[in-house]
Amino acid sequence: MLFYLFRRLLLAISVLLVTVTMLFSLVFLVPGDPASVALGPRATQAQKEALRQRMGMDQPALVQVGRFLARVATGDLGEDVLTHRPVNQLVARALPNTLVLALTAIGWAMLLGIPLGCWAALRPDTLADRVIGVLSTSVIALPAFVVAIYALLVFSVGLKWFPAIGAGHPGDLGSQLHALVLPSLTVGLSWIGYLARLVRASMLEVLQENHVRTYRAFGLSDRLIALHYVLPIAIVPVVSVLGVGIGSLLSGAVLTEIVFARPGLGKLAYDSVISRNFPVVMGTVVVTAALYVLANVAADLINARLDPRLRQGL
Amino acid sequence: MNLNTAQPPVASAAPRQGAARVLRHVWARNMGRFALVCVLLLLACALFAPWIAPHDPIAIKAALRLQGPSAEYWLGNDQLGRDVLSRLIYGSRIAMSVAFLGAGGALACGMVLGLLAGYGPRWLDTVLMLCCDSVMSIPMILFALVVVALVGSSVSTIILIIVTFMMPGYFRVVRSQTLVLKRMDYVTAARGMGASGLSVVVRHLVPNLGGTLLVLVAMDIPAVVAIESGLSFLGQGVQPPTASWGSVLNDGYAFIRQAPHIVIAAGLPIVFATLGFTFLGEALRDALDPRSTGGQRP
Amino acid sequence: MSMLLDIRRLSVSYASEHGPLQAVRNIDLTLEKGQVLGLVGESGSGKSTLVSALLTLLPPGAQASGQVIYQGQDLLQMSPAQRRGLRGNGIATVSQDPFTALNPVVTIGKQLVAFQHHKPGSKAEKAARALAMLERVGLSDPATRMRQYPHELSGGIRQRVAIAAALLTEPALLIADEPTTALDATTEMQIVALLRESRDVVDAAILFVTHDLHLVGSLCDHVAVMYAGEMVEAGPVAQVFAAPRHPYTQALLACDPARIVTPTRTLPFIPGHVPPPTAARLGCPFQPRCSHAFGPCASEALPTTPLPFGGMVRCHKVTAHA
Repeated sequence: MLFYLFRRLLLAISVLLVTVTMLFSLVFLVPGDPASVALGPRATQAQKEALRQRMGMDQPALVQVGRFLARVATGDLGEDVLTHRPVNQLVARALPNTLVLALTAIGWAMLLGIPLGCWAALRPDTLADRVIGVLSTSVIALPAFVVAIYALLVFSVGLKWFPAIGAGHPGDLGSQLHALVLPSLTVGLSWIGYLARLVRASMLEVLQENHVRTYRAFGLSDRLIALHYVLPIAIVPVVSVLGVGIGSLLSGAVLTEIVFARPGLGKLAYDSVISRNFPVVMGTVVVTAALYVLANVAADLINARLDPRLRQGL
Repeated sequence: MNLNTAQPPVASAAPRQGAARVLRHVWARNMGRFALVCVLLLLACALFAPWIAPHDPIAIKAALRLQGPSAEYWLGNDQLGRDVLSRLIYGSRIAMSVAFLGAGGALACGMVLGLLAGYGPRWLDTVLMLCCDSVMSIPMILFALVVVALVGSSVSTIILIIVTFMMPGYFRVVRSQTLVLKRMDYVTAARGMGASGLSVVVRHLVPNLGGTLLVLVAMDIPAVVAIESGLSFLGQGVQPPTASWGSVLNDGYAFIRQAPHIVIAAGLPIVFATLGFTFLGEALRDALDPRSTGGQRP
Repeated sequence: MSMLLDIRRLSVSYASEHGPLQAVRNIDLTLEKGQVLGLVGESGSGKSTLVSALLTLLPPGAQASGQVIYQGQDLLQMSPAQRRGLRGNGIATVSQDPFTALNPVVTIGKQLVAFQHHKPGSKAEKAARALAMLERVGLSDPATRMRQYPHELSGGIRQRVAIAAALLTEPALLIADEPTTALDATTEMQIVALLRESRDVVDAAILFVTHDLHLVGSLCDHVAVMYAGEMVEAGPVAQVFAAPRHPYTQALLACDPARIVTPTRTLPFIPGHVPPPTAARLGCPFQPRCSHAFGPCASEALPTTPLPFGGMVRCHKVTAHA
């Protein structure tokens, strides 16, 4: 267990290190200078110098990376360049919205994707199975923001079933849930298809295993075997994939938040990118990387619960 | 059951087949046919945009502002009166060039790094794998936004971002295949005779992985299209007045209530491009390796 | 003794890309109550298909003809629900590979309770019976075993658990499908001993499937030998082992290291291969490998010759000399 935690911590640090290093090295690789971009073409040399100093960019790259990481290690994400508010506070306000969005999306994916995949696996190569296959593949391929815009057009602008923008009125759970439906379905849609495919493939594989034959030889019904003895094993890769896929899930969430104007991490990152508010942007990146590592730990723990064979690795 | 049928040894590689045979296999399936038609149409639009497009994509006609579809302008006009159809046709140039350069660049870099990791010293492998895991953990769009904010947006920046993020997929495949090949007898034999093991690995890598990599590229193109159009949709990709599917979508998004025809039209090429390349990838995979049933990541 | 199982002219074939494959051909076999029958054959002899047919677990593509009469009912004519009602309730099995036969994510105790689903009683009662049974099959500390997962146990212990599971259903017919193939020699003998003792626990007939004649000798009272989907010889163990009539049985017995009298450096073997299960077949399947083959062996259908004490043999040579 200790070794496991150590490994996870190492991954967390390396994710941060690599992210930050990549960001900084891209800045050096690509022609153009952050200060000039931020201040526009008419800025004076002195203004640019001042901004560079404020962003710590007059230092060598390695020093910049080191300083940044040292600060993050103490739990301080820095200060908003424009309003001088602590980034921690901004992130703390945006994070719950994004978490709710991401978790609801995962909820939809599990609620719809797992039963669909399971259902398809029990009747392989039938018409129903093939239709589910084509639909799953389609929704996996479609970009979340295009789905978001079409959903907005049909259900909010056209049918007026759901609000077009915002996360609902603060304190009013009903309106918040109402505002959550479209965005979460949009983010979750590709995951519904993905989980359906994954569960189907995984179920078909487990159904071939010898213990399934044992259960059949003892006269248990196929239905009971599938739901009680096959699905719990087939679901193990689903959990791992959700853990690893949280990054791309958040990617979908960022764009969806922007389309539906939801005040979450993605919207915060986007707004601060537009206003060239570098510390806030870096703060959101750090937090998402941390979310990724946490999601992986959670996935490992859940899998250890599901499959006792995996407990030894912890 | 112990039927005495001699099973041929399972080949690790997709058998090398003629391109015509593979294409026939793809065409034989409904989704494969749909995919081929989509992809060929898009490529034709990209290649022959100046001849196909009925109007100038950047000519501003104030009188036609937000006009709906008409006989002259099939998909209507945007907020500056520009022809939406022509803008989308020209947009396929950006989309396809970014898609092929991005996926191709990722393939090339992934192969080189995968070979290095698989063949090089252990520490290098560890470092590269760690980098690969890290890249996969970052939401790409967020990272892309940051980079664009820092260095300004251009097509080359977008391609660079895409190469960075698409690389891990190819890297992993090439690395594991290299590790397998490295232990093969003929590599050991070749080294024993003084030949460079690496050259033997490289020579066997392409025939062994060609099919897999081709499928990976086809499956990655939808993601690349999504990133490019997504960034342009956020106003952080291709800069105006150049037409991109994402920027047309963004133009329409601002007028989604007054002129919904713009977003409806602008979404369609993205839908057809992503679906077309995905199903092409699937059909190619089935044609090259009928046994596999795996899926791609969203 | 009364008849428990009566297989009449059973044939099973599978569809394949290269035409139908006939895995079992015209088999006749009877099993009486309380009998222990050893079913012997090499890989590809069709014994696994026969077991699947008895368990009514033939794969969907399989075509079966003939009759498999178990306690007066033809298994092949039953509805799927009726078949399921017999599995684990009258007919029980111990499978070949103890390492994969149990669900890896469910504790032994829960699985043993689930296997008794045909039986009345509460979960607690079933758990108590499972505990008692684990003790009877010779497991130390059965209470701990109940809480463990399969991967925490050795192969021998898992096979004991599998036997306990089968015995818990109080079967009339216990099919042990090569239960020792995956185990080492010492464990093998322990499991065979356990199967022998299990006849005291439940009043079941045992069909012991194996490719090891030696084990048949130490466990069974009857033996049936299969070759390439056909039954070639059957009878009481004492008789068949003392005076094998079919050249294949003779060759098999000659290959058993325990029976080799003269010291030798090379183990005897039967040259050649089992013929493929493609449908068309003329004459005796063993003919290409048989040193006694003569005229009719290559072209004429096999005759069945009854032997004393209920045995039978199918060989042209035996018929010709009879």
